[in-house]
Amino acid sequence: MISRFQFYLLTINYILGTTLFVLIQRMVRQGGQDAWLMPLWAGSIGVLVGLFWILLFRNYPGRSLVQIPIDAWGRPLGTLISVLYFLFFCVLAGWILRNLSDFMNGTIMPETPKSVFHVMFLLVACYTVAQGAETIGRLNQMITPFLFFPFWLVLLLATVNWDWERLQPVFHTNPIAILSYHSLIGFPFMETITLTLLFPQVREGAGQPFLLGVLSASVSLSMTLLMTIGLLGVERASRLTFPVYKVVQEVSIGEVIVNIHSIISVILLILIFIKLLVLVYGASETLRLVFRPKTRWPHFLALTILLSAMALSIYENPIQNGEWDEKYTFIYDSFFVLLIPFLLLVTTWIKNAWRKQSKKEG
Amino acid sequence: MIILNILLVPLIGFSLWRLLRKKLYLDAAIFGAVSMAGYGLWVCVANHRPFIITLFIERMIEMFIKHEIGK
Repeated sequence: MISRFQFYLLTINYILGTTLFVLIQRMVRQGGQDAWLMPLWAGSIGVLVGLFWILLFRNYPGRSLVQIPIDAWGRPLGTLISVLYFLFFCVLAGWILRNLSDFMNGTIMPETPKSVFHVMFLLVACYTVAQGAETIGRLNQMITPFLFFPFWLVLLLATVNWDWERLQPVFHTNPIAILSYHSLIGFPFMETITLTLLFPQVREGAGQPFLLGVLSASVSLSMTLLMTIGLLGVERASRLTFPVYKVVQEVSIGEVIVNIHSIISVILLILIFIKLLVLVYGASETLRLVFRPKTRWPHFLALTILLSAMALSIYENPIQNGEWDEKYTFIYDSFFVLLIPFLLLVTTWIKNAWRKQSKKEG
Repeated sequence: MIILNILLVPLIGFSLWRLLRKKLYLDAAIFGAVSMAGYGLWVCVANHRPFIITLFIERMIEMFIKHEIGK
């Protein structure tokens, strides 16, 4: 079992995971100097979606997301839905592994083959996940101060280049441009559905820490965007592939504090690792809960083979990924995050009403 | 392609053989299904013709939207 505080931290780090270096540029391009508002409204919708899941989970106490379809719709159809969720988690894991290798190839290790990063991260992730949910929770809790303080310290050091003019005029961007960027709701806020697999593992209820985690992560994202715009300006930030990395790379204080961008690289790598842990946990738990195998390690080996292949097959290049993300992420995520849970909830209500009716008649 | 087969075939084959020897047929079926899906994707990558998952999803979404509009 993990504590509420551990789950709260896990939710924040899961959301921040790849978002910090995949989405910043796109958000600045879309929202201009007011881009810092985007995570706030997307986070608010993320909270509403979270409340909707909690409503579903209240009807199935102690059950996991992949067990609910089996309870509601029976073994054959429920298993099919659970397999779809398994594929959803695998696709997400492949996605973030590829984001990671693109980042590494684009910044500090351009010659290393992508699959080396994928396999190395997967081996460590599988080992950690095999130790159970407690290990993931404790590892994340132990590591968070080493992510939080250096990240904000490094960004504060970068404020030597700060210019308020870059944020002006405030509230000038068309609100429709900000609100129409629906892919931000899909990635990263709707992807938090993977965290619901940990709900039965959280002591004294997971709902509150989950919702607080979503809110805190959206505020963190908003502050990071504000800092990026104030330090780089809209023009530069919207053209750079990894603006946060660039912000820190340019820090130079008295020829003593220079080249501190490796700190931000390590922080980003650890954040991705935490997100990968949750996704590998989701995929392996789905297999364990739905098919009830007697062994564990062969399945981790199979997952490593599958996910390392998926990471290389997920998209052609970062440009195609960006275009796909803006166009299809929301629709794709909605199927797993809104449609299936909604149908499950409706089925549960009908079943409950039917039972009440039968009792009255009986 | 040869290196891929040298690496993956013994790895998958040996694990599958061990599971079958212990008569864990369900485990062997799960392992076989997941690892063969991965092996298939790896073969496409090794042949320089990767099966791009996002393009496949895109085609499915477009097909669904067209089907709905067609109605």
